[in-house]
Amino acid sequence: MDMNQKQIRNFCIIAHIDHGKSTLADRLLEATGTVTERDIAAQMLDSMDLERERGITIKLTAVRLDYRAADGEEYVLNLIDTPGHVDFSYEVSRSLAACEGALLVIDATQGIEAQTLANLYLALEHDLEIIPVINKIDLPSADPDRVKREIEETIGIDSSEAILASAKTGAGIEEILEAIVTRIPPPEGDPDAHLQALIFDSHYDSYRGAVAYVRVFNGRLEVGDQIQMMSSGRNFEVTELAVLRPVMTPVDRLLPGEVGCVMASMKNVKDTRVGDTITHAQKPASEPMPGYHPAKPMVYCGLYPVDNEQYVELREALEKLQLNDAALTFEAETSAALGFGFRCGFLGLLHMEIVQERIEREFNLNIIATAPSVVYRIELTDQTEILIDNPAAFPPVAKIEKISEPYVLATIMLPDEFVGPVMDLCQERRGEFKNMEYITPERVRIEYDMPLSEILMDFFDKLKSRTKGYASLDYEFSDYRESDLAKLDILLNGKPVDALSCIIHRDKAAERGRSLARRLKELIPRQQFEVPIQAAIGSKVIARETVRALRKDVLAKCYGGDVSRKRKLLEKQKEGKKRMKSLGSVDVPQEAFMAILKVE
Amino acid sequence: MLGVYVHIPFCARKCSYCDFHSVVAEGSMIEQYLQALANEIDHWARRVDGSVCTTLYLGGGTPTVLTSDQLNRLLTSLVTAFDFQPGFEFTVEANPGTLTPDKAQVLTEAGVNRISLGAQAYDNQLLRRIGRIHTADQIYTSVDLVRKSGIDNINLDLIEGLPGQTLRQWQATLKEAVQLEPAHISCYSLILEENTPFYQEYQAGKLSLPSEAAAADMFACTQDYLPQMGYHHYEISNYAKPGRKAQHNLIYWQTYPYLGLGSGAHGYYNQIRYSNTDDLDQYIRSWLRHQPDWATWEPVDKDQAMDEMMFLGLRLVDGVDLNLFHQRFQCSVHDVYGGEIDQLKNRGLIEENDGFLRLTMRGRALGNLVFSAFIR
Repeated sequence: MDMNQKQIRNFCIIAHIDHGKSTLADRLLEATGTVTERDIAAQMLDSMDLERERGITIKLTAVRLDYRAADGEEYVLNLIDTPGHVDFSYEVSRSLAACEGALLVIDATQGIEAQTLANLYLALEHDLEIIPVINKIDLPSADPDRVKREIEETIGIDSSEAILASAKTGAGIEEILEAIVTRIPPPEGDPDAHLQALIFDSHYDSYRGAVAYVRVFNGRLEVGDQIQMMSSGRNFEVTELAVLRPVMTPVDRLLPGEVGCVMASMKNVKDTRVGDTITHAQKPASEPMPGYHPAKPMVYCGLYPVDNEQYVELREALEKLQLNDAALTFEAETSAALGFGFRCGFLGLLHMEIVQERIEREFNLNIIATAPSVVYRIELTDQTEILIDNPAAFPPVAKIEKISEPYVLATIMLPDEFVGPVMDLCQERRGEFKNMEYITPERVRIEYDMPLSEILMDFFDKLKSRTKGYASLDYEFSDYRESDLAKLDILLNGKPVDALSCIIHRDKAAERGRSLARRLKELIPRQQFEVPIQAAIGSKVIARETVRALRKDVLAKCYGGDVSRKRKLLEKQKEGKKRMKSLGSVDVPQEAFMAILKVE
Repeated sequence: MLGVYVHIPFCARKCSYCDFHSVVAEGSMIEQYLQALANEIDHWARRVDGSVCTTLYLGGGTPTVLTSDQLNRLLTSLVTAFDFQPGFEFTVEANPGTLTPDKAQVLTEAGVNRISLGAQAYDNQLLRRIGRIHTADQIYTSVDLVRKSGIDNINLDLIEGLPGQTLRQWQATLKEAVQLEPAHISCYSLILEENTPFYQEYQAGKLSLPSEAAAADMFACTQDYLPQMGYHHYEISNYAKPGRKAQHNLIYWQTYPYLGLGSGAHGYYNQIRYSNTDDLDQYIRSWLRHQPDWATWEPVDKDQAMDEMMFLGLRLVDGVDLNLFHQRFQCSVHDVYGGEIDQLKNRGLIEENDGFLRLTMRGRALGNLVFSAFIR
């Protein structure tokens, strides 16, 4: 039975990490009877282990809720989940484009955070109806009045419309559901027009292939249809359509305003690019939905198998991850130190960490990740320009005319008492002050132009520690600027290790070189031979440390006949070694390659 | 080859460094234990009926905390239950301070021909510090006693790297030990183990152990000195006069089978490594009902057996007999560990000659780098 378009509401939830989005979503699922068993899963929408551990949502899903409203009518509410991190802002924007409204969830004890604000601006750009929800009002430290003031000051929404709620106790949940029905407009769209279905997410299923999550804007999408991906022109036949409630439930067709998933024997999520538009192959729409652009990596690092023989397995792992992650890019590269590996591109640091952890956890591969790098633009003396995303590929100084690096506009929201330390931090990180604004008498928003490379250097952790965890950060790419940069080389045992090189500002080179050498001394375990560590710029050595040789390491205790115990001790040692990379005769632990990020 | 190990989990008091399974016995516990043990002996005796046993080792704990009568009953039952080959090595561990003339006589009469004495150190202050109950003098008395009772195959256990111990003190210890002319000397390194008083002291920052460099010096000094004094270095921690290697321990290092009897004991039989429960009450309850109670039970497959032959065999100064490896597994050691072996040779840690693969001098101090390479 086709549903009435007027009875559909498509919405998403915008919230900062920890402000209670997942719990609120759970409550909505329960209140509408979508999930009856409380214990099916504590947080239905966060399906990947990693997401749950980190308390954030990486991939989006859509859940269909059936709701009988106070007016006696049955409504279909599609809750479209959004990731809550700066790295995934493009994916967020596609989710928002699939909705007519958004719940803006703000922690009554915390207030609006930088990423929430960034996502909210995105929502306003898409003309979404915003329903502010002030969550966690059950907590003793809740200050809903202050949060209401913030809402009025920052977004100019009448705060009397804000709903006071507690996802924990269930307070305000009915009010939220009613507000979704009454305040968010039903979707528009013409079932007889040419098909336009926006892909806002996709995932790879080993049985079905790539599954696209879509919102139909115009036309009808039916099982058996020949469809076309408008960005690539590739055609597929729809084998299955389904809605999530929250388990996949097959349907025959999807009409304008509806949200569901499309399966069409697509082998790869590259065929289901987020932001792309699905249309009919025979009667294509004249225009795709606006706003599509392929994800562009901002951060690069090298990934290498610890054991060179696992190169092929690493490639397979990356290929499998790419099935589910169109933003991940990789190409083969070789390092003199690390052998064969891959240069991988990521949306940001978090994206990078997630990919690394999944490779280790889901594919059981030991990998070395080199320190992340941004993409440098280098103008050579022969007037040509090259792009460098790997310090090892840095050209000789004599050939360089000028170097530019990517800058971002960083927005930081914080309590005013921490403004001093945070401004100091931004200055240390070569930030250029842009703007400062009091949102309320206690909360401040500051903006800096900063090199992206400085943000990669542990900036977020430093920001958190200087503000007792109260600051939030958002940033977006602004432009390339010329900088005085140099390449810092590290030599182990007198031999340069390309994978430990980094590009840093010349004013900081000496200091960073010294602390990096010290840090490496701590990280590299003592081994059979003495290991000299040197930091150098060009041919000039600026720091030297030595890891002394190991002299005695042997089980010389009387273990009697307890062979299992001996074996366990040796296994532990072997495991430790497995996590290290042998560079010539020096065993270097994985952390060493990231050490540059953690030096002062 | 089949060794028999019997564990006596009782001590007069626990030493500060020791995490072996033993308790300070109370009341009727020892008698109950011996009854349970008798049932286990009976069980295994039937099971291995027809096999010739090659060594018997009574360890602990402190076997000599048993009374003469208890010792007598236990040892007699052991030699009657199993079929030992003539002249088999029969070792009992003893602590100076618990060995009396009476007990020494019981041991001799039961056929014990080797005594392993836990001397550990020759400095009264140090002995007290590590929780030993005996004095340096008692080591001499005990050695005399053992010799007078007709047993001349004596081992002295020593511990290097004790808290506050200097290289000079360790050298003095070695010298004292050598003056007693034992047949065998074991020099173990102190290893800090959890669940020991030392570990707690260490955590509280009250234990100062010799640095790695000092420990390495002690280890090197032992390797130089004892061979000069006529003790052949034949295993990482063990030195013997000609013909006096510990036959029972060789069974462990050469991965031959052995039975482990008593609570917490480990055995290797029919390609299975097992250990008895080290819950003393549980051990007694189970065996009083003739019920085995194994804490671990692990079949050793071919790969694991190969690894074990390597990492245990390489502890021996003679190394691993490559023909024997081939004979046992029908393949060459190089087919299995070629890459590792080449690498270790290049690093100067192992060498191969006369059909044996062995540690180099340098490799002995860094044995774990070698052993762990043979773990798959």
